[in-house]
Amino acid sequence: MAMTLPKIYIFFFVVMISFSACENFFETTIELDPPPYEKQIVLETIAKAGDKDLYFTVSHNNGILSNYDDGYALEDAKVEVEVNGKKYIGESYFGTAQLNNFIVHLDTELLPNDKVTISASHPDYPTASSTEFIPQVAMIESVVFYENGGLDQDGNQTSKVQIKFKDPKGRNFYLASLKQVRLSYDYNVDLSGVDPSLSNSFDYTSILIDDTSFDGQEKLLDLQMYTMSKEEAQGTLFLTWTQIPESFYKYSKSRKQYEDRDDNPFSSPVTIFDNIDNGLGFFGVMNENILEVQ
Amino acid sequence: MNVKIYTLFLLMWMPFLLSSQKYTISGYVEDGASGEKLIGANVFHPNSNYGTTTNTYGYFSLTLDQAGSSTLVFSYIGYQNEEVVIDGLANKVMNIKLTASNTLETIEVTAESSKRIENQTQMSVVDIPIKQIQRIPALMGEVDVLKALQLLPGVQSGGEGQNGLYVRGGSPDQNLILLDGVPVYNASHLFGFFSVFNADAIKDVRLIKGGFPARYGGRLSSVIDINLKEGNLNEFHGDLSVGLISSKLTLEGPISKGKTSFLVSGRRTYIDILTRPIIKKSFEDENTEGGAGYYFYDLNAKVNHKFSDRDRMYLSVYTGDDVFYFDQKDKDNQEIIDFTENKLAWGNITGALRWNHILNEKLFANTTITYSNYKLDTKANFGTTYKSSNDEDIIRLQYISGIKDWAAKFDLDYVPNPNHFIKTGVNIILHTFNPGTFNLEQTITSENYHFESVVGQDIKNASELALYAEDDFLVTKQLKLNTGIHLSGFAVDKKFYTSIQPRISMNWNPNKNWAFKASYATMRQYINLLAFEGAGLPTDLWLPTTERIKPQDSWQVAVGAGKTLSNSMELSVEAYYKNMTNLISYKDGAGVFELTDWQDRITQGNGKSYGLEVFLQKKKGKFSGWLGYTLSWTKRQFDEINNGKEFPYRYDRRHDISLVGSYDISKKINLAATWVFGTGNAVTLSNSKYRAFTNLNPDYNYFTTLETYSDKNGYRMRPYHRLDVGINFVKKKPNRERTWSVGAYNTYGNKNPFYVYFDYDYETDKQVLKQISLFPFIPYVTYSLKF
Repeated sequence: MAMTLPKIYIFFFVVMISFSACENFFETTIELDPPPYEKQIVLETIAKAGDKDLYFTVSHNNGILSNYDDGYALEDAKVEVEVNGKKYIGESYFGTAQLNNFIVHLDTELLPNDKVTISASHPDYPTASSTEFIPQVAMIESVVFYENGGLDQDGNQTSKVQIKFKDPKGRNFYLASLKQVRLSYDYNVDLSGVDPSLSNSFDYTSILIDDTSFDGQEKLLDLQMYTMSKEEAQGTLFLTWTQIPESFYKYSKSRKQYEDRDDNPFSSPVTIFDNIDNGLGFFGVMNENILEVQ
Repeated sequence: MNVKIYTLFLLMWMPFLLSSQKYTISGYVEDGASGEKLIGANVFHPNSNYGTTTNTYGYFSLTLDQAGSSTLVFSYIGYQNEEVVIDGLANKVMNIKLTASNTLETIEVTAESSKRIENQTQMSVVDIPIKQIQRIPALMGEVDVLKALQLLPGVQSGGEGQNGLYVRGGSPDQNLILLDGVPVYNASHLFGFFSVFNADAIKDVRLIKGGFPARYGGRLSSVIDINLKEGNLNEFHGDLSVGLISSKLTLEGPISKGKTSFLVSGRRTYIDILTRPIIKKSFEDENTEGGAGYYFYDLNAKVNHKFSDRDRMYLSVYTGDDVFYFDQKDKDNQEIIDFTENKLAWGNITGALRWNHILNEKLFANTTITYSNYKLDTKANFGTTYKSSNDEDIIRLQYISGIKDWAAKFDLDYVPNPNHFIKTGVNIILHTFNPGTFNLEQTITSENYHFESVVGQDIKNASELALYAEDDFLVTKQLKLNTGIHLSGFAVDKKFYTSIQPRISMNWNPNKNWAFKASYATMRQYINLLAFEGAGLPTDLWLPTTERIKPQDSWQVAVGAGKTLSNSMELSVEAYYKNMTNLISYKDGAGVFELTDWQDRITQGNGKSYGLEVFLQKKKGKFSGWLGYTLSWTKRQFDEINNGKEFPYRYDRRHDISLVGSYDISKKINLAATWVFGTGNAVTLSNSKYRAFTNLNPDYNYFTTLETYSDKNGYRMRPYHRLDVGINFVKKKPNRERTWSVGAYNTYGNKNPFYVYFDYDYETDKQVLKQISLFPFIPYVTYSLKF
């Protein structure tokens, strides 16, 4: 045998050291031809009960390898809104750098059960449209702040807001957010919770609620937040409790899954739910109720 | 057409009824030292050129024409041949003890072997000796049976380091993985990086990927039949091995010498123990304490008792769990104590009680009762206790999913004459499926509030019945058939599904050197694994066929040729086509932890796979190993995915090559190496992007970029290739043998793709595709001691 035992050990040791020294092993940039895609209008708006003006953004999609410089603005687009059969034409409102914004002035405020259809058209793209109904308002019995909210899922100390309400029979979806109002500024407080009926929305500050586990029952729901003293919370916290339709819930949930997919190499691609026919984007409708936290 | 097929089957079984003056030699073939039964040992009668092999329990029966004294040859890989003179007149029962060879090269099969590839009726079957599997270099030195099977043609691995098996275009749930005859539902530890099978406790592994004999059913793509060792009947022995991440201990020996033996084998990882002080310290400050960790363990135990030459009983048990835990608590010196306790545990328990009974020299019966339970149990408690008032504010959550089976099976082997080997049996399984249940309990004593809720999916009970009959039938000296029929039924809710599955395999030897083979098999699967493509995650759900969800079906045809090139080298080439219907998949965007009915979250579709496999294997000699090559296409089509268009399966792999070699440099040193190459996995890439709100408040006018996706699995990642090398240094001393194994995974440090994603490169101001690789060069060292 040509190679003696000590030499084999030395050989292995040298090989191990040389390969262990490889730098930047884990990430590599790959050359890729631009994949084909379908050009579509992107239409986004959120309409609340009580709104008289509706704000829209209209843009178009770009190829995945496009640069930041490639704009998304869609010149010459037209926007239309139809409320319970009555049509309104959108006007240009305020142009951001890359998007076109529109405003639609309605004759009357939007009310629960109003049927609202929105559409955006452009000569070079298929017309994008969506229809939704404004939901009913949800009623809350009490909202109470507790300085001690226990530990959250990551083991962090929290404070909490406890919401007491009677859930109406049938499938209901809610969105909750908490705002702290101060003299100098207002801001949204990040919310979380350990109840399985709660899930984070994609913007992290709001919580989505699915009533499957307490359908038709009275429910005490704990929404956790970072620790806050009673004094700090007193008179400054306001809960926005919003009734949303299933499409809103699905969009928010799928978008959260989409945002989370980067953290999970085992995940399959998540297609974000959209309710825009022949286009991309989202038409959200809601009915919100703002309450001061006790 | 069906009537003709069944008539043909019946006609083929008729000739065994016609017999002349014959005698039968029957008995067991076992390891001379340990008494361990040898599965698939050859029994050959050179005078008549007839032969057979031992069954799963080491039993054989060979009926011959009366023709005076002659010799029977018994052989088995790794053992010296045993020649026994028989008088050739009367029935005889004999238990043959074979002596193990020191090395594989000493075997010379002088007579024609019924185990030679040309003589086997069944195709698409591979047996790998466990000794060979133990020599294959492994990730972190953890010998892994399932990863060894990935090196065979027609079997593809999933992602980097994963032990999922994708057999001829099937998914991992389409593999019937049997441990001592009991289905194992979750064969993975640590999210698929290690398998649950402890190689030290395993006697035999067999993979069947097509041409399924009628005795198997219930899965579409493969059968992986793993048998545990029975325990040494004569002497007490042990095997201790210490590795980088786990240690194993196996003990075996006689309880009553020659009659009763036991085997106990355990494995546990110890990363959690080694890191506990560091983790504990990181959790601890003046107010809080806690800890976190992960471990897995396996425990195999088996007792084997010989009541008489005709009756034996085996009891085998397996249990294994993966456990992740995380606890945190305020120290007791405070008025308000917050705490959280979290545990994620998943694992299997299986058990089998088998009774072998020889009814007569031609009839062998096996009766088995089995239990299998896979469970995912997630617990999370969050709470606060107030010392002065004794008030509590606690939320307890639990999520449970799983599958539990009780089964009874009766098999009969009947060998009326050398031209027929008939197997028949019945199997009944009672399944209990838990497709995911949340338990929520909330208590606030100061408010006098208590809330309990159980939400999720209804537990479903179902029963599965199977009947089979098959005959390994020597039609002429040149033509062998294995024909059979598998009948199955599945009762769930108020629905009863039935299925008739004909099976046929043919082996034609135009001359001694070549065999041409063909097979056809239909399969039906009543249970489904709802999984995200990618890994064997504990959240994957086993679900039944229901009134809404139809059973999965497949048919497969294969043709091939086999040849023994020399006494130790075999070549086989096979082409196959497999068609699958009613496969299940999550709909786009559906998630695991959702409260909606799981049936609403899935969709059913079809799949097909076809390809060519080449397998060149050297079984004996100083150098042993194989070359496997697969050329294949695998596609899926679901009406609700990819706009109904057909798309490549994620593990569609055009080329797949495995080179496995083991060389005995000397009696003390063995060198082993594995090289694999595979076409890159098919993945879905984004094709366009657009601007969207960053939050749900329309008053904030901020935007982010979202992406849309191209055709499903329309992009190929880079090819995968890797070389693993290992050396085993063996030192034998009286009564013990120690082995140092050193080696490395991915020796030349290839950057194999694990997943890809788009990112913005600010240096070049361009959107680019980036690839993440997982395992660089990873050395390992393990120590094992046999005593």
